[in-house]
Amino acid sequence: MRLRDENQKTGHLLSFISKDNRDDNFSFFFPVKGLDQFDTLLEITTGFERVLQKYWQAYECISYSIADFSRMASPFPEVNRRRVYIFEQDEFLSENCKFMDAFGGIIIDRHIRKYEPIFPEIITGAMATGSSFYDRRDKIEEIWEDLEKGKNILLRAPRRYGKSSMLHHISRNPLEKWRVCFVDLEGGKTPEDFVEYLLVKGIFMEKDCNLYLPNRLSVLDIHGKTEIEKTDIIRQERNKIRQDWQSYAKELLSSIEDKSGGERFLFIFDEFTFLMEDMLENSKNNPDTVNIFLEWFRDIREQVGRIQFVLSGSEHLPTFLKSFKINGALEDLNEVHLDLFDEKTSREFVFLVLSGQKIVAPGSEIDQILHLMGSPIPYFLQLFLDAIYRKCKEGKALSPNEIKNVYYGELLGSESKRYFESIRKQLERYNRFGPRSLAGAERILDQLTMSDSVALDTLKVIWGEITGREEHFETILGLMQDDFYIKKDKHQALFFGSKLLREWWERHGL
Amino acid sequence: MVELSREHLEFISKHFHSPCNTPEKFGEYLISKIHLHGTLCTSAMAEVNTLLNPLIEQCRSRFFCRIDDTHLFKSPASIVDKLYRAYKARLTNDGSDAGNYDLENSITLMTDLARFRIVCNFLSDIMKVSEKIENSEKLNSYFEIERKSSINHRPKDRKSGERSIKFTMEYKKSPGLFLEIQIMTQLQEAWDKKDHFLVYEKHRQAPDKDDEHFPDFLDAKMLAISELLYVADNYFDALRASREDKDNNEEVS
Repeated sequence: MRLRDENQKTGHLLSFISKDNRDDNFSFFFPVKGLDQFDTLLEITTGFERVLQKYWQAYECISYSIADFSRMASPFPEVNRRRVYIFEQDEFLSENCKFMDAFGGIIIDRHIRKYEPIFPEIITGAMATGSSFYDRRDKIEEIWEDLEKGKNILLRAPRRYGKSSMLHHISRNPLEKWRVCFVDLEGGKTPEDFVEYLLVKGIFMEKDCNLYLPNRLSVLDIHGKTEIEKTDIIRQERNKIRQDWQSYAKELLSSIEDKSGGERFLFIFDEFTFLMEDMLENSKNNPDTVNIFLEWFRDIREQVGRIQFVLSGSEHLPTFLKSFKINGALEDLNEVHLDLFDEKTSREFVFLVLSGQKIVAPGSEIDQILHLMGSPIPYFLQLFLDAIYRKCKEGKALSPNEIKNVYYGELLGSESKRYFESIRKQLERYNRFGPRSLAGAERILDQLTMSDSVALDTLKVIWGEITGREEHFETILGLMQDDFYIKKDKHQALFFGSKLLREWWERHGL
Repeated sequence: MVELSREHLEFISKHFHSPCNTPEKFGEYLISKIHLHGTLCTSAMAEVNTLLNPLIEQCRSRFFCRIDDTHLFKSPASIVDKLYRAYKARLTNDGSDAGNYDLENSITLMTDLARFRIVCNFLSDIMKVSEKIENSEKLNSYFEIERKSSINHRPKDRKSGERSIKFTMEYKKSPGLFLEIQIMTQLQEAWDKKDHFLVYEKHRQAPDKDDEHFPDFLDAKMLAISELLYVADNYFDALRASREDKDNNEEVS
């Protein structure tokens, strides 16, 4: 694995030109060193022609020999120079020099479908938004199909699977006649907070959504106000919410319903699980507040016609609510589960990310990255790719052994603490579920690290020994399922679903 | 660029397989046939580039040569024209050297389907480039190389105005896969580009109609200019030698 050599100026240009409109074209330039590369170049050109067959009615492929790429005259009059990309042959060839149709296919696909940019960026912190968001087309389609049928959705997946990124993408790319408002509920601890976030972190943030506010608020034109004026308005509204959050929410939602006309309005509530957990903690684990809130929210869902909801939550949300005897409050929601990228998508993703960073990665090394990672959890995969990119940028060619060193030394090394801070933070909240819950969870993780899988009953005994009780064992396992990707097999044995997390715990937790 | 006549189109319609026997489709068919030539051309060009880099580096104070990558492939219309002329010659048995080409064998018999040109500054530069190519172990290991020079042709041997060295290279691993490398001076290249448009194509299509096509003796004038440029190339090279030799001597002393 190494940075692409872009100094070689002689090479082969493959141009893909729309048959209907020659201005619609893109080209790949492959530098060539000499006759020794004739056979591989032939493999590349025939490979691309083969993968283009899918689009044979729309596009044709024409090749050009280029003596000096830096002084390339237009090989054909309509050449779009902004869509000329340099690659090396090795990026598309397997170890036995065969064209890798998967990589050729995905790159052709993304060009023809005009994805911008073609190469997803490396995102190591925040949500992957806009250009950085990758794939999930099927899942997004599934969600919109459900919404179009009038269903409300509970999107469930473990942490760092990319729920927020996907929901953000949905909010930025709504279907026709849909208005979407994204609300991040993290930090909310009460029903009043929920209503306030809906207004302040949701509607007020979207200029277009202002039109749907009750008249007394929409005339204020909050987007035209100074920060001080905005703060003042928010303070006044907060006071009103505190007086009667249900009436306030009703006024708000009725206004949206009335003003939607022929449109439909979608609220996306991200981090709904956090809201539930924090609401419970805030009421000292008394489920009454949560019950009241959830029942009210269920009634709202039944009452409104043009407003729909997507709630995102962790996998453990139903178990968690059940453990506090909160039942049935979310049962009307259609459950959608977000899985990890499958193997093919993961390979393509790694290829595209590295290629976008001008890194030549043989297929075997892409496989090695995925093998080292285990389950390709997007957040950690991005971290790994970032570490590899930084090494390559230093001008180093990485051997398979060095890739392994990056994984164990950088991603799991002593400097990696910051990557896992959020997990540590999640662990700390375990003590909300009774004293020594954190210690019990840690002991379970220790046990799971030491064996490939451990029987559920054994873990229950360990939990009992450490915490002195049986209560909340299931709740904690639910949390661990989301935070540590703990999975259960058909024999009721538990195991780490993430090789990376298991190795991290082995090094830094055990 | 050859323009297709009614005869050409009839030839395409009759001899090309359906659905490629139409004016819209025959080109696509022929281009797909010379796919290998394209990749070979790129690889050979890269090899030659590497070969010439030391010479370019030696003469870094002046222009030495460049590879011209325009017009690398014989156009489908030119291929059809060549096929048509061969067909006509067979029919009339006129004894012309139009070649024994037909649609089946043309791709393996035509030696100039893919070519690139190396344009040099001085005549002596052509010789240096030619020598490099001829003596390259790598190129010889991949190709059967045949060299033809028309630079110092005597008047009786002159068939065209162009003065150049041409290498016909047959790829050893795939006999019948040819590539042509042409080496000429900038002056000859400039002449060739003008002549191609003014005289060459017209003459090739109807060699017996020069009186009709060039009543103003344009063909004779173009040939004379080529000879003038040959004189100029020789003179320029003598001037170069006097200056470069002097510089070299001063450097040594």
